[in-house]
Amino acid sequence: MPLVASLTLSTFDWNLLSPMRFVGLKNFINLFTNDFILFRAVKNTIFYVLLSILLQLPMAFLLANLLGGKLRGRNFFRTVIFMPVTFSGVAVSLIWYFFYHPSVGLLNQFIRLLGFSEFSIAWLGNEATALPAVVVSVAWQWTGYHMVIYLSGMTSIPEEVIESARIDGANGFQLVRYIVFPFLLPMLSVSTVLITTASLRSFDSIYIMTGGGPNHATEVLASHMYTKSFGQLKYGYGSAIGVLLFVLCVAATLLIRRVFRYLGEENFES
Amino acid sequence: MYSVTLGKKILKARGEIVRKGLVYLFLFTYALAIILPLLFIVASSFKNNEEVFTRPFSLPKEWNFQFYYDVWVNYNLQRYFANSVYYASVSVVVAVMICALGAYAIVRLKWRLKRVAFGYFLLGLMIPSHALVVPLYIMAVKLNMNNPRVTLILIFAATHVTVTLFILSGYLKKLPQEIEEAAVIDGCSIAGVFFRIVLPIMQPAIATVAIFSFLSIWNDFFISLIFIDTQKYWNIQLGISMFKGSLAARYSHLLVAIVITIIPMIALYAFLNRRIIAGLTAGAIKA
Repeated sequence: MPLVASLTLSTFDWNLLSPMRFVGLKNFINLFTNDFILFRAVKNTIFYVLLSILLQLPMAFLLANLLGGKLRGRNFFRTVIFMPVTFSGVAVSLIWYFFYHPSVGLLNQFIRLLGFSEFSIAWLGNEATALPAVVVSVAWQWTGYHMVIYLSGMTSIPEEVIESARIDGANGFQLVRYIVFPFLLPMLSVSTVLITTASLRSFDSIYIMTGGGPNHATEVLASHMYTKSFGQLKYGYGSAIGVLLFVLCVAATLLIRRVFRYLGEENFES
Repeated sequence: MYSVTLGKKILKARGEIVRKGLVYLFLFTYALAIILPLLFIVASSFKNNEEVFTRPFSLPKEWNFQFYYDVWVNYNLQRYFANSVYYASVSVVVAVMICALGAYAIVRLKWRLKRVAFGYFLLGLMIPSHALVVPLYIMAVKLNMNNPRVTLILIFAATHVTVTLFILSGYLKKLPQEIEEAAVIDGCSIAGVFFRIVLPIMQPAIATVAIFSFLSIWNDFFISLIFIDTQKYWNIQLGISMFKGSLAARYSHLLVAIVITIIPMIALYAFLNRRIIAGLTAGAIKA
């Protein structure tokens, strides 16, 4: 129901006080032609999504492979690596806000300790570094989550398959490439979808750490939508951004599923 | 010949040790990257502003609890903490009650349109809350819902119905139906079957989904930010975010606020880590 309302609303120009004015598709047309911030937000969001996948997926896959076997202390590592998932986005963002803090942050203190004070910059205040800095903090929090998904997928690989591959003389890398990887494809697909949709929606970390700045360098769709609807009271316009987000989520999900299905066929045919 | 194979074996064993060593080195480094920032935050939270700046890497000179008292009592984090407990627990109870009944109706009872109903609920998995908040906000304003508590609980319960129903019905589907049939034969009513048999045997799934929903509501920021306008209704996340905004220069308070929010999580996690890991990943793994 609210989704329908959202669709309807996105065709109006309304600030709750004045009477609603029907503007048809004007909000959407404005979205794509007149809103340079939206353009940056889309660009940043895509960057955010891609970097998140790049940081989290390979690392989680590697960790899962290291912790999947019989390794002493593996429960300790699993537990520690998963821990940040239980924290709130706000808490993690504040931790990293402090970590990146130009004068008192751990990162810059450390850099100065090593004697490279010219590199102790305002990580979150710099247009070039702000967005990657935020994405790194998110990866720090969520990599353990995807690791656990892969680990649970690995328990479904039959013991005999690995055993027989070992007897055939497969080394560790071949084992991962030709057995673990194809078996985990469904899990990899799920976690790619999750990283993508979560990154598309990302709001907390941006709002807390940078507020979309400096100069909209970290503006993403969710933060832009928040500013438009609840800061500038353009509810119809905000709704239009919300609808755009929804469409992007669905499109990305379908695309990723398709890519992985294709990958799956490739891997099982050979 | 013998010595050659032995030599090879030793080489292989040495390679094995080096490999293991590298694996451990990597894992320890990664674990440290998780733990060290947290220890740093905790240690710094006892220092005053000046000490945070001048002696960043050492333990605090004295363990100063003044900032904890300030944040908890004077900045009223205790109130926001209590609000969060209230929102999360009531919403979880509401969502679980609705969904336990719903899952039973969808999995066990026969009625028309039940597939349609299930599909309708599952639609919720796809829709990001961002696409819904604006109309929901307007609805709340138009309905004159002056008490943000009710609004929030309704929204939280509604947004968690989907995943709850999904997990509970998935669990119920796998359970054998014989016990329930036996109960019916012995003269138990449908309500009796539900409350005496189905609800108790669904307990593990209910625990899983309750942990998931509780944590996700506890950690919510976006919805709370939009729907709570009065400070006294703030939840814990809004409460700690204040230390970054208006009180930005008081690092000690910011650090204390972070510690106060993460310590209960760590404590809970220390005792229930298996349950929590299972609960948080349940949706992803079943999907």
